[in-house]
Amino acid sequence: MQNKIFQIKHELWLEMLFGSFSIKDEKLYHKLYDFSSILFRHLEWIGRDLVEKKIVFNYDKNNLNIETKDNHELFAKLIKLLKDSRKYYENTPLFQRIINDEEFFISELTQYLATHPNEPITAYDKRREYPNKNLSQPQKDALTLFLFEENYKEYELILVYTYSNLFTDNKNLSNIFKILVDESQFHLKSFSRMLSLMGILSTPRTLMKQIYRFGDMKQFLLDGIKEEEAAKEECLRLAREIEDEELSSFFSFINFQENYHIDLMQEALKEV
Amino acid sequence: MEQTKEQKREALKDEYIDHMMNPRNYGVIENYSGKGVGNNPNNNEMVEMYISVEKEVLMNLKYQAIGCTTTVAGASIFTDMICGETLEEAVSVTKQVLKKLETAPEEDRACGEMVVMSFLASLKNYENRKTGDEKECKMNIVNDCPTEELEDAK
Repeated sequence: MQNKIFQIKHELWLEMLFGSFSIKDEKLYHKLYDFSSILFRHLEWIGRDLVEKKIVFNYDKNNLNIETKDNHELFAKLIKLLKDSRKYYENTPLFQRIINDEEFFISELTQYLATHPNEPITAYDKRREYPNKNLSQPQKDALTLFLFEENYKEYELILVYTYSNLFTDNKNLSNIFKILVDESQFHLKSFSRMLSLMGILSTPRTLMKQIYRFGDMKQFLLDGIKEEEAAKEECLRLAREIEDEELSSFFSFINFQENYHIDLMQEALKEV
Repeated sequence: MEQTKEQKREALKDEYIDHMMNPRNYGVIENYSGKGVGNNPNNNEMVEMYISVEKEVLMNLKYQAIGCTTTVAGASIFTDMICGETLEEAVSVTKQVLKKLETAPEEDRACGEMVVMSFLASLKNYENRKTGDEKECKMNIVNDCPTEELEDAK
């Protein structure tokens, strides 16, 4: 039952998060993104509670169908999901806190339904055109593949670092994991917004358990450094290939951020 | 009206994008008839394939992967293609896919091979289970993705 709550919350977070990415209106997007950040905190709280109770949990989830045709359909869907999740909650102070937050989300979403004009969602129409950019077909293909690949990777990192953080007693290591989660949240947001603009937004696939349930933290960090170095190369290659000042500068910026991640992971290595 | 080559290529690309966005058959079969792993021993990427067989027909297939988008989209297309086929037909399709992979771009070859190997391993496991041997079947790929390390080694 308790793992089911964790799964429901995980799915709810993804529905709110990717729902936010799908919205064109910047203000509404930020609102829903904030709600999703709070839902992610709920997920961490529930995870910590399960660890304390020594209950095994996982990141399994159903294959989510996140596509909605317009904002109103999305708001109505999110309200329903928030209400439906209630039946799994327990009568404890933790879940009372969660319910209070979600009550607020429901009232806000209800208000958006009543007051905001409806707008179509184009995040899933597969048009693969980047707005106001004249990219060639090979450039679009390279960008598409990169965004898909990295989007999944960032989601994976968020879950792996969060999971590891739930099981560590080392304060320094915990701080590093928290920073890395924040960094990946930012990357996931950036890449997903780009996927949304191109009409190819989708939720990441489910993680295999051996990705986050590993015994050798040192090896995980060493592999992670290798992956960050590979991601740096990919960013540089894409920045060169894309031949667009704005996009190239964004990918160069991401490339420099990977340096910071590598430094953090090397710091983490000293702690294990 | 018949499609031009360009239109066919675009339709194919759209289909591929659709598999990337919504991979079919991703997941696990709890009561499987066979389970196999296609493995890349150089980087620990893998595809885990589950099959459900009834009267020698593939009733269901599911897979999970530690790998790239190409691997996942490839597995989505492959499992979609052979689901509902007899085992004999599925093996015949598998041979054709392996043949095609010989001329595929180097970077796609390893991903495709890993998918096919996972299916062949699941078939082996299915046959073994008939004799009471439940041991996991794993098959390694022969080709690998071109990486700087590999290029240096060459």
